[in-house]
Amino acid sequence: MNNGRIPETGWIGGFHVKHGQTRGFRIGPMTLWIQRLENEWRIAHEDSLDPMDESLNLETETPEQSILETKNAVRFSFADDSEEITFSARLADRPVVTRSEYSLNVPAHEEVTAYVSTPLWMVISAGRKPKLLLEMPLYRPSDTFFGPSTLEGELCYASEAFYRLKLDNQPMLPHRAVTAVLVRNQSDKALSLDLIKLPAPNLSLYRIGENMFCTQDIVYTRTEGDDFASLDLRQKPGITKGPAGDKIKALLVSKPREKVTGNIVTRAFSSLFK
Amino acid sequence: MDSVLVEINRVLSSEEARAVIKAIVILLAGLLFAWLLRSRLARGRFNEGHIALLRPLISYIVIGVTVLWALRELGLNMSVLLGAAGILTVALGFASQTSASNIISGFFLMAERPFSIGDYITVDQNTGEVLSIDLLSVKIRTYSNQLVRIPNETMLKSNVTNITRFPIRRLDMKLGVAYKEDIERVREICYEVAHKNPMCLEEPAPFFIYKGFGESALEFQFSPWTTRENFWEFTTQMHIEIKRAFDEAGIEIPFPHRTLYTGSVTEPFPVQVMSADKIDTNSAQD
Repeated sequence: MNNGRIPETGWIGGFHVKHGQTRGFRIGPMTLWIQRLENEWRIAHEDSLDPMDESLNLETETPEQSILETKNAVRFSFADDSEEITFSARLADRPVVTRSEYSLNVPAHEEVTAYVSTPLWMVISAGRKPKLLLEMPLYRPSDTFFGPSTLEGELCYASEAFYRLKLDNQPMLPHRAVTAVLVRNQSDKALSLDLIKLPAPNLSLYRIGENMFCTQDIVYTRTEGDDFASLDLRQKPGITKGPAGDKIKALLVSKPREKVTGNIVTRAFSSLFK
Repeated sequence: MDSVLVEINRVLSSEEARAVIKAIVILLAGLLFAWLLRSRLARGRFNEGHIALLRPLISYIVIGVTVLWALRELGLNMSVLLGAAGILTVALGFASQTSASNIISGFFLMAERPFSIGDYITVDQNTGEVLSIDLLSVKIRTYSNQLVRIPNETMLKSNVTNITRFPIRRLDMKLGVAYKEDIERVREICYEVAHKNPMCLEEPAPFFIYKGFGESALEFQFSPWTTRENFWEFTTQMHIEIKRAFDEAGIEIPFPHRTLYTGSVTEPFPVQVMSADKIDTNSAQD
């Protein structure tokens, strides 16, 4: 008995919701309710304020009142009488800026690997041939502006998790993905690595184990003494360690939102606002 | 039949007919040239505002020159025409000083580019979206969906604020708390509220400035940043959330009190003291 859930897939995959039934899911900080009615799907969610919430429960309690009473409820008209709902995940739709817990400097001609944690977006589809109903962040990160001044820059998300220099120190959470960022400082000046910008829309998302996510590795090479670096996206993730420390094959969950071809030069490190 | 053809041939080979044909060809070529220039303009590096301003101007100049040329081909004495045109120009010049000033101001605006079509600007008391930048005026649509036409000359002379030029905006909240409150605690609460709101930018970070001892409050300014698209929603949310956070923390936001005093010369206000029973009866009647 798997209660309609396709086994061995964690929260990614298909779930069965009978007509008239409401099902509840807790994925990290988000509690999600899905209700199937005749010709209609109803989806509602509530968010906790803890961005590092580890919760994962695919059978949570459903509210006593109608889920439409919930603040974020939405309804979808649906002619298909299928009772199948599909969950998938994507990376953020803007770059994500992450900071160090303590100031870190990379001397000239040195390199360092930082493990960056970014929030996931949940994609909900329904029907025999899945049609997109909703895409939303499992935790809405704050906005931030990444640039040299208030006149020039890029709108990004701010990651609540600090980057870490050891993978073991970066929690693998069901609603976040981890990326290994190799920073090569090939200039003659030291690099102050207070902030790192992760080009999330350009990365593919992979699943390692049931509820652990990562992206392919990226390499930033800094040759001049400024905050710019050339970006190189690796083909596959280097993070392949499962929950028990065993080697696990990474499975592709979603392709990048925007494809990047060749090496690009981008502002990758700290901005003016320190 | 032959006689008709001979007649047509005779007419076409005459000097007058050739002049008419030449004039028509010149006119057509002029129209084609004007059309080509206008299409090149649309494909060039000009923005919508420039195109709106230059397009009619190019048409008027090219067509004007072409018509004069065609008239010359038809044998019209240009010196007479130009003399008449000179007198007409003087008369028109006096009559259309304002229009000419607006056209020239339009060129200055075009060169300076303080705003583009689609930007939100404030000119004098009017704030709205720029719909068009024309030869004589700029048209804006206000928030209340009214069309305001502002002459280019006025635009050049007035202070114009472009609200949407830059991607982010700062919200300056002028706040005050009672003298008994701990200003450090107030500051912490403000930062906490800003941090919890995802529309508040992490960078540039919000800042808190203590402004001084006011008449009835400790006055300060709290300034978080947000994107220009979220500005109005963020303004409302931040005020609601700060008020709620202050209420929860028991922090008082003072407001001016008014004491009514009748002085020593006039009679005091008549005050009627009512018993509790009577008040209840009155309330029930209400």
